[in-house]
Amino acid sequence: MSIDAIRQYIRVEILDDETVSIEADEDLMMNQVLDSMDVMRLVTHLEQSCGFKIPPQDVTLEHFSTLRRIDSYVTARRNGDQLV
Amino acid sequence: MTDFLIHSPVAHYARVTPQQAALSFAGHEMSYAALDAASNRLAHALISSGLKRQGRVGIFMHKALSLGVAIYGILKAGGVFVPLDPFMPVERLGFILDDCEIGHLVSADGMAGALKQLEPTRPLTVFGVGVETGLASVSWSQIDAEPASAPDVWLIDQDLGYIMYTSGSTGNPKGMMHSHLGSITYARWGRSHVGLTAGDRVASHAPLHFDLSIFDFFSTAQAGATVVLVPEQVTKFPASWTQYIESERISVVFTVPFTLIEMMQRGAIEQRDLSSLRWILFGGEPYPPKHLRALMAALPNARFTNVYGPAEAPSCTCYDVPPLADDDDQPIPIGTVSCNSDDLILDDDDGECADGEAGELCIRSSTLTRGYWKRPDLNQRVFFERPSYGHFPDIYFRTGDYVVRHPDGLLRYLGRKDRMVKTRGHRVELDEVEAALASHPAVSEAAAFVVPDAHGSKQIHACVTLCDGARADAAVLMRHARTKIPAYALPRHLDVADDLPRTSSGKIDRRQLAATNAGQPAHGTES
Repeated sequence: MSIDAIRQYIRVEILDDETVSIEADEDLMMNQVLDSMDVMRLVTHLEQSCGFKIPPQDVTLEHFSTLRRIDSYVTARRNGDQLV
Repeated sequence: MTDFLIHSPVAHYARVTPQQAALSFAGHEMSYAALDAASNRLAHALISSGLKRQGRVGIFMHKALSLGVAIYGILKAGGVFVPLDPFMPVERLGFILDDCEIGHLVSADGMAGALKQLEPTRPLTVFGVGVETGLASVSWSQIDAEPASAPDVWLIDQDLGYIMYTSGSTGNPKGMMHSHLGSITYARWGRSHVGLTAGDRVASHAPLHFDLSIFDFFSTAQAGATVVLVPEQVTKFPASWTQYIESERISVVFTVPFTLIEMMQRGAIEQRDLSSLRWILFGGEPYPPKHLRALMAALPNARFTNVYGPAEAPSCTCYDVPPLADDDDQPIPIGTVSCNSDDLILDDDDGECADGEAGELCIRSSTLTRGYWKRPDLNQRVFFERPSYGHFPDIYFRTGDYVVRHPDGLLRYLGRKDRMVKTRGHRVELDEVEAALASHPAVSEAAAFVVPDAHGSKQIHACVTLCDGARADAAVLMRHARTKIPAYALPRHLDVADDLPRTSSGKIDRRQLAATNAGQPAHGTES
């Protein structure tokens, strides 16, 4: 899972518009790219793609507000890093 | 203090407890003394820029400490604040600026993108913006050069404090005018009911353009307590929201059921120390009992109050929820009228209903809106004169909501008058359909709405979301609904969806559902 792959999932599966531009550091909530229910769909997709469970306490602003943060979170989980 | 004006507590507490935090936002606090001085400076700047008594001033910004400065600065200048959804489309923003004849706007640098797209039809000066927008602007550094003393402004409690715009049936929003008297009556009710004291930290979770925010800001100020502004990003993540409650030691929250359901299901409550939370008020739409029961069990030290009231008459009634029995799936009562309000339940011929008879709730109260801005047609429809207790005539407001008073004296909300549907010769309450579907253990939320069919008549459709991990298809849910409501009230089409569309205040957007479902086949049950 990369920033590009997450961006593509959001474009195709959530927004149904492959032409939407989403910057890696763009705030997905403040720019109304996603709402809270869309985040849950994304979480389910990440769990299925990556093969690990994402506990509710990890679905936070710190980990899910931008594409880059989501990617960092997924990478850290894969590497078994300690999350803050 | 001049205690008949909604902004008076700020100057009062600036003298009595100057260093007490009036506002808190993302780790930063603003004391009552600082808020008083900053809002005085903004008031002077607005007056210098030509604002007259009762001139309308828009507030167009995200949550920040300066939001509080904007509210109080406008009121101290004798103006009327008009909250504007910072996420609203520019076209809608332009409509409100034009409709409300707004010549002054308090905003922020972060809103420059939207401000640049504005094409105002009258001169517009923007305050609190230091970047180029193509509009006449006054920056915070210029405002800071104004005197910190209170401007000399004469106001009475019948003057307007704010105009709140909500969706209108024509597609254009309509503005509700609220006086200082109405607002302060509401604020004092809130302070008294919840027993707010200076030690309370009250969340400002709802957006400013949603009337729950009037409690957040003004009931809190009545007590000299602290408003904890919740960043919009935090409100989108239930686990961040519970983290914020914990770190900010929030003691009182007033929000919509959806926020609380999400908080319970995805907020990792068991991992947080939410012991500071002593009172939760909720309103805006019915709270399914099974969800409320779960939250009450998770927060055994908090009290819970169901607050009912349309934006035109906030906090008409309230109900302090006692412990709920495990098998109780009856809708939560809306309780009894709040202080300084009278209720009147009328049948279709404007006759007074006896206890047990359903009718439209009408209200007589000083919290009532002064009417819709420039909409005499609407005012004529919803306000009427009627002798109160057989004596002098007074103004009542038609809420458009059907209620019934049970023998226990408590009012039960039955649904919107315009949500009463005539189908196959029977009257059906769409809220009753929703309650029937939501009573299935697998269902998280339900929405029923009307879709016109090809013959020009109406069909009931519904859409549900399921609880985390639950499984149920539409056929199962329809079988369950058949045990709760008559056959004629069953939806002709039922969807099981991942989520429901929401309005900006977090309520289910049933208009959107109806619009997107128009043309769906009848008799369908899809999952």
